[in-house]
Amino acid sequence: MTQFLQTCLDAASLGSIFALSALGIGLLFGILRLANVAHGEFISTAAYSLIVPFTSVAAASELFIGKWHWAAVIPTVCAIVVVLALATERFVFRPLRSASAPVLMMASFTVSYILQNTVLMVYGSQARGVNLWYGLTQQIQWQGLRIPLIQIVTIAVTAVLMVSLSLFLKYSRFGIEVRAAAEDFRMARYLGVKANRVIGIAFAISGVLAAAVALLYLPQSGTINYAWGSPLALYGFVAVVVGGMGSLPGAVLGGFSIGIAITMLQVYLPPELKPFRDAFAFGLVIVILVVRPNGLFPVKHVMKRV
Amino acid sequence: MRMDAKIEGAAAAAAGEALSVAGVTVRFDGLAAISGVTLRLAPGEIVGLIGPNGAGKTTLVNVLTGFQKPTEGGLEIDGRSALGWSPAKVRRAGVARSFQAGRLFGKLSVLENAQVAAIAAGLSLRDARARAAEVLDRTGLGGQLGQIAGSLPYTDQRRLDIARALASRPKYVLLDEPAAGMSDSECEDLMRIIRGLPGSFGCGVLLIEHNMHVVMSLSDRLHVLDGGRTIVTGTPAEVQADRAFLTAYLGAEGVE
Repeated sequence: MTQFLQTCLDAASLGSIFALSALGIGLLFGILRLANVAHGEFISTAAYSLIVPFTSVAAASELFIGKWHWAAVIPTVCAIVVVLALATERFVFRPLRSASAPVLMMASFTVSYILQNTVLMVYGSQARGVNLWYGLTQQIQWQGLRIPLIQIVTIAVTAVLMVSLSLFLKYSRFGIEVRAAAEDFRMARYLGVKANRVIGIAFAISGVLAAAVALLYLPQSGTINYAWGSPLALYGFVAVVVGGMGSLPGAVLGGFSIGIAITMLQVYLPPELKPFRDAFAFGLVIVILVVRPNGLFPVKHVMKRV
Repeated sequence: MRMDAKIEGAAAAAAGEALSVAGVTVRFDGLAAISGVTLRLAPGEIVGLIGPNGAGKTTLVNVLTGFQKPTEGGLEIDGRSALGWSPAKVRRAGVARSFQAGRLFGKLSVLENAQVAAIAAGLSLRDARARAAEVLDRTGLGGQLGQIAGSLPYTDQRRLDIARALASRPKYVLLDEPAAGMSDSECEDLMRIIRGLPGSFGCGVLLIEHNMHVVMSLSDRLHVLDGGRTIVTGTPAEVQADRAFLTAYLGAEGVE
């Protein structure tokens, strides 16, 4: 029983990370039909901004922003990624606004590679150890459970971010505009919704979510390399598709589903199969998509009469 | 467009307030959808636009709302040339429309559908909410503010589409077949709403409608298109007595 509860906690924590990643990706997809591959590099950039650039490899890299008080680290890292996200929007995706979805996706691939190579140039190709918030990796003992603090923090922060985001989308002036634009962008523009503003807000939120993923996952992973964010974004993509494209609650539930699946496979697969855990996880994804091609939680389309 | 400001003063004085097209022709691949159509809609009046299928009604509405640039002819809003303006700009200048296919935001609530139009027109969240509630009340949806638009019955979706068009306080509203698919009692209800628009909102209404009973009893003036040309204009009584109108609607045998 204790073992099972421990596993549930791991699943919820990993699921939170994937859900946050999926939200950032799903938000842009909902509005722009943009599958933003560069989301992984938004996450990597957040992590790399914590350490000193242009330094030789050390076992534990010297912290730069990461050395500051957490109350300064969080807004600074968020700001860096938001600026990066807004810059990609302004200089790449805005000029391509009327382009087709495949063109947008290719563009996001190129952005992804450019950012990845920039990280390579500035920080080198070798993995770097990053000791962020060492205190959070401590475990607390409770009822026979060993609970890493970071897991509790991850779950709590994810919950707060999701509630804030849904309140913002539900009740704010921009939120209503964003939701209308996500559903019918051309109609929203016709009514007078400012496209640049709505898309800018979506990119900024996506940047904050990427920063959150990096800051919550880094204390658990401990090391980063130039492609660190890519798998996190990949799981986010899978979560968006499994959840049902275009639905934010679907993306969140998809993220948690994948977190649960991977954790359970990690625990219950026979030891000789464990190295191939992700193959089983993605096999499961294929099965889900074959059985439910519109995802687990498909968007209900408005029925048209006449 | 840079010339607008210069023309504006003189033309506004001459033309007065109206949405108008003059000598408008639209050709698709050389084929004329409408040719030489002139129409004027003033605030406070209801003008019916009728004609058989393929007469060019929707093309004309698209020209009046900026969705279709005419091949020839002019478009003016209150004396300013609006030729070449985007649909959004035409809308900001006070010309709103409903759509045949509805195109509501199906996942937003009834209130939010109207509210987003008011927000986009520049109102604060709270003012937009009040404005939306008001137009929804006038269109008979006041009791369903929280309902998800996609789950509304069809006739209510049509009314919500009209409410959304009204939410930006337009001076001119173009309603594209609002009564399509409605039962007689639903039509009566809709007619009561449309008849009240000029009084409540001070706007002019261009009513595109197949239902003769609806269009004849609501319109101050009628504009009849056939084959892309204006065949007759006048009061409903004048038009109903017109030979060209009868020919277009009942066929040549009907007149003999």
